[in-house]
Amino acid sequence: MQLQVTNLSLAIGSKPLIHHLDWRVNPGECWCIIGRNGAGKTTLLRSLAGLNELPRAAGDIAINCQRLRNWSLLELAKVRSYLAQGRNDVFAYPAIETVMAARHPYNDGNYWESSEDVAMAQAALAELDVADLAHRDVRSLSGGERQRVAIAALLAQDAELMLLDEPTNSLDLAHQVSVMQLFSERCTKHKKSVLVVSHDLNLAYGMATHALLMMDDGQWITGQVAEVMNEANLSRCLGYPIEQIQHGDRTLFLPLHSIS
Amino acid sequence: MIFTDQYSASRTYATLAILGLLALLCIALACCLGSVSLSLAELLTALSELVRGEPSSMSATLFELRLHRALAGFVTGGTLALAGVLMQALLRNPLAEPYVLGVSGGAAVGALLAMLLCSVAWIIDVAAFAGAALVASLLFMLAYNDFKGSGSSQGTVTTLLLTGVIVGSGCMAIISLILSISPDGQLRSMVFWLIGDLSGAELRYVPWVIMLTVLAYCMKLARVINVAALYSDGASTLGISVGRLRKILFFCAALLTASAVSNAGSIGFVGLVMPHACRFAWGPDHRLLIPASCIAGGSFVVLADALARTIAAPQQLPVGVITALIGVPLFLVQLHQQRRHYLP
Repeated sequence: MQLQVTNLSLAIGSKPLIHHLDWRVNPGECWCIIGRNGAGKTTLLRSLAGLNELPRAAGDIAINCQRLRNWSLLELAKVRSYLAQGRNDVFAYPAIETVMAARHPYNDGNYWESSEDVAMAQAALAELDVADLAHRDVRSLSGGERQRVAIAALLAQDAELMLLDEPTNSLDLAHQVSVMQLFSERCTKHKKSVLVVSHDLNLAYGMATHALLMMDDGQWITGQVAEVMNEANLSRCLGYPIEQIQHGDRTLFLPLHSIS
Repeated sequence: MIFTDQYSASRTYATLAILGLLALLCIALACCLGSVSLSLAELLTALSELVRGEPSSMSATLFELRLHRALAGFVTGGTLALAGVLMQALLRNPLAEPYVLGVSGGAAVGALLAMLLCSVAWIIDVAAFAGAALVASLLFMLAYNDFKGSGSSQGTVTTLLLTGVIVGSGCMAIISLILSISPDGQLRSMVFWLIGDLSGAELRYVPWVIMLTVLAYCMKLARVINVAALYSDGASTLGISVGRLRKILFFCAALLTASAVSNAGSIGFVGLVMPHACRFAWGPDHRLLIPASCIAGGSFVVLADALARTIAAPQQLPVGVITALIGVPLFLVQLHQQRRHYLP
């Protein structure tokens, strides 16, 4: 699975979000996308997922050398999955139904779920530590539980490319770490590719192999995490002075402590 | 409780079989009730006479009349309930009902204009259907953004909803105008039409064809409707063309509403309460919800119409009154139950 972005330019109204992005994501790479609020991270992710229609002049996005717009929706769903930033649950479906629905690309021909699908859904929920919530109404779950159910659904979709918009939102510390480790493992062991939008610099640095920094004026920097994530780049990207601290063999990023 | 395919499938079929039996019972009951009540024995002899094609006795004639009316009630109720489920799935709002988008308002305008200008029964029905179709086309054009499928990240189809509500209000204004200028003689029949009345209904095949075709089609799509109801716009990342699905749901719901309203006027509450009741009883899975609401809605109107005929005998109440009188407290009780059930 290879994601290739050529000369992509995105804008909202007259505000440029990203200028002429040239980017390639190879299997086994875990990219973190860092930028300020409103820098265009979600817009970029949605465009990569195919949710935003691109005007012809705005560049190309191709998965496995085929342009996004030439993919059939079902085939594309087997290759890439997308975790949205928020959820809007209206009906009283049980949590396991959410996960089983994510298997739709493989089950389009079947009317009823098979016991294998149910088992897979249960396994995905167990991996995210929410197996006991399988038959609870999704609307009654706490924010963190709902988030983990959504991540379980994404895992059940079993796609090569995973696009995650702030996956650790609402999660407690233990689950933040375990979820990031989970995705990191998917990259290294199973050769999947992950793109994560995250505001947590340290978590991102810990799990990612590469980083894309989106500056506020449409400029961007891509590269390996160790090269790209340094004080200068991050301070410029986030609009706040960042301090890089070595703690043993770990690198930490902290906002500069101002003495007032 | 593990949901395996055998469990879900057999549970669905068993529930539908029981509902079907209950529906037949309701129709039989409606045929028995009336100013002259028929006993079960008389009902059976009447049925056999009807089947043999020689309705000679009084009970057979009564049975035939009541059967036609019950069947007309069943198809109207089933159509409205089905439209309600589809509307709730389209708008992703459990408070939606077939009349919220103004399609029934358009039908009412058409029907009342026809009543005002000429009083031939079939012209009124055709005019109602045409009015509904006109409003539906108008909505489709005005809210085409929501039918593209990649709209708001909330997935609430707000343009469609707002446009529909406004157009519906506009139709209500025109209806008020027509009511205010129409002569007294026609006023009563107009009001009865608006409330919903089965007394003029004849046995027709077109409403049945429409309802059964849409029912079969939507049952085939029920799985996809489930995924879209869960994920809304995000369902496109799972391989579903959300825009196309919305167009299909809109077209089906508008067609069903037009069919039901031009048949029997705007019978209220069936399209809102029956999907809710079924969702409360059997869950939001559309593979069961769609056929169950249809059958339950039909049975509900059959019973309500039987009550409407008998409760204030010899005067016949419009069925819309009974559905409202039963529907409102039923809905309130359900709402209260659901809140208690849902709060941890």
